[in-house]
Amino acid sequence: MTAAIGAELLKLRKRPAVWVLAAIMLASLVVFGYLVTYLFLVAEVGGPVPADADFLPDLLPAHAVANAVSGLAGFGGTFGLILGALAAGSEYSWGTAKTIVTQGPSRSSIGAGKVVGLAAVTLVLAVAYLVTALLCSLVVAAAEGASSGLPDAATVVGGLGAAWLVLTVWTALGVVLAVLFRGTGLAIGLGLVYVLVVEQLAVSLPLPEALSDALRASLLGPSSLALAGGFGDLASTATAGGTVLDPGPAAAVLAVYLVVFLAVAWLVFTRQELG
Amino acid sequence: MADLVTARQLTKRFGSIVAVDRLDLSVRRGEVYGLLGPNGAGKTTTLRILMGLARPTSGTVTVRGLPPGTPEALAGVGALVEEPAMYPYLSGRDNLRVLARCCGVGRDRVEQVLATVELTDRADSAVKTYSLGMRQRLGVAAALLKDPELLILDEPTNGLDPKGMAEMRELIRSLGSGQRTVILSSHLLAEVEQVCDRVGIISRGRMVAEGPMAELRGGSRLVVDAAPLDTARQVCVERCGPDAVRDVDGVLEVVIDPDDVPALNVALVAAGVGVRELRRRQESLEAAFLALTQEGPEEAS
Repeated sequence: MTAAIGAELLKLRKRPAVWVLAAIMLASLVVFGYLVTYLFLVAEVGGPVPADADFLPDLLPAHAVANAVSGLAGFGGTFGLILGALAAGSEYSWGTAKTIVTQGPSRSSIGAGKVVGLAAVTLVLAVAYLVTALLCSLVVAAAEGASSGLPDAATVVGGLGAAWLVLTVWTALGVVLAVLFRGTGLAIGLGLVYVLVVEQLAVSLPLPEALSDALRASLLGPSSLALAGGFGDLASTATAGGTVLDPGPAAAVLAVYLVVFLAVAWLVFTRQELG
Repeated sequence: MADLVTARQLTKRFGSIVAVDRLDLSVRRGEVYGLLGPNGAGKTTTLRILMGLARPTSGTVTVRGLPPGTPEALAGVGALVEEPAMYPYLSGRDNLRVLARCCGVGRDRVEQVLATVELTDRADSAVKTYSLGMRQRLGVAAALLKDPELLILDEPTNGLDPKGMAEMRELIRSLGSGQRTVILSSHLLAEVEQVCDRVGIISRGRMVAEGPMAELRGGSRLVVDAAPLDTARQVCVERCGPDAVRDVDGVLEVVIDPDDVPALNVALVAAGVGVRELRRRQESLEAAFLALTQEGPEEAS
């Protein structure tokens, strides 16, 4: 399996689409997580932003982990979905799944190589995301002369784990859709429909409160946001009001999704005909 | 010689369509075996089953004595099935490095196979910039990475220009000249005729003939161009029997043992016949192919 992981990492490392996706993901954090909010604050007060201004604490280093994880839970999942669909779906659209399988490794080890390779990429992306958030927050703190105190190590490590879990679950969703639909296009399309339509509609349905809560507690997006909520409430997000789970159970829900996605992908890939 | 690949009563259905129909196949160790058939005859489906990419609906298959598609069976098999499928954004060398890691061979082998298919000079270019011929050669290089005992090539000259086709055939001939067994699938009669030792002809999913090339061609005849033709015919009938002689376009065609040709020539001359030409005419594989598959010439290129 080590060889399959090495092969997967070589493919991912040299694929321009992965780098483009990572760049857009980080740029989205900078622009929507910091720049837009900061410019809004500056424009509103027309000068130096007072220390007690709404939203300013969200932009400072003490909240960098919360800001990063909630950003990742909010729109980072889409990037994970696309990453997973691209990495797995292209093997079908290019026909390379057939080429790899006929080289001799078992399909299980090929699949494991793909999963571990992608998990390594999502870990790197999660680290880059947190580092970018910390750097942005330090810049804001310096600009406003505010506190540049960093979050403690436990929060950073926990945030990294949460960011990695959220990104990996969404990536696994992209993988399983790509394996089921044997390609990239339909996997990304249906994945986006799920993220942007199905989940939004599901949480907006006029259901009895208990049923609505149960639905929220079992969906990917609300669970991701609930996990992010464990790193502090942010004034700039609706995290606190939109979740019904504590961070621990939310992490468990995401872990269950991850296991189910990978199990389905493995079951299908090891049995499907190729060519 | 032991069979390296065997299929018995192999059947593959896609819904109501029977792609492979009770097919029997035997490929012997060390031979270049041609799998010949018109487009859609079931050749690629058969090869996909041999590589474990598709499962048979019924029947049995073994590759190197093992179930097809298992890592143990695939360890000694290299294949180019349908078009060469590679990562377009990677260079040829990186594509082979990815595959080499998967099959556990070293970088030096990558360089060897690049040299074998004469792609070393372009090995660092992205595959998306390759011509079809270069992609085909890269596909063959990928198939050779494991230095396989069995090489399966499915329509390897598809889309190549005449020069590329000639080069590919030369490469296949050289690859099959040692101990390696090669299965070459093609709808091109000339290709199979030039390269293969034995041929299996598939039509509508069924193996309609299998055997050595000469056997499938149906033997040879002696063309006798002589005058007067009546006297020549009489001499030939006396020596070979009436069923062995026929008139074709102003000459005689005679079924005769090659060892008896000198004696026939002497008899013709002794009977006062002027012999203009005696030559052997080999039946073409095309004639055998058309007869067996009952396809029009336009489908049997």
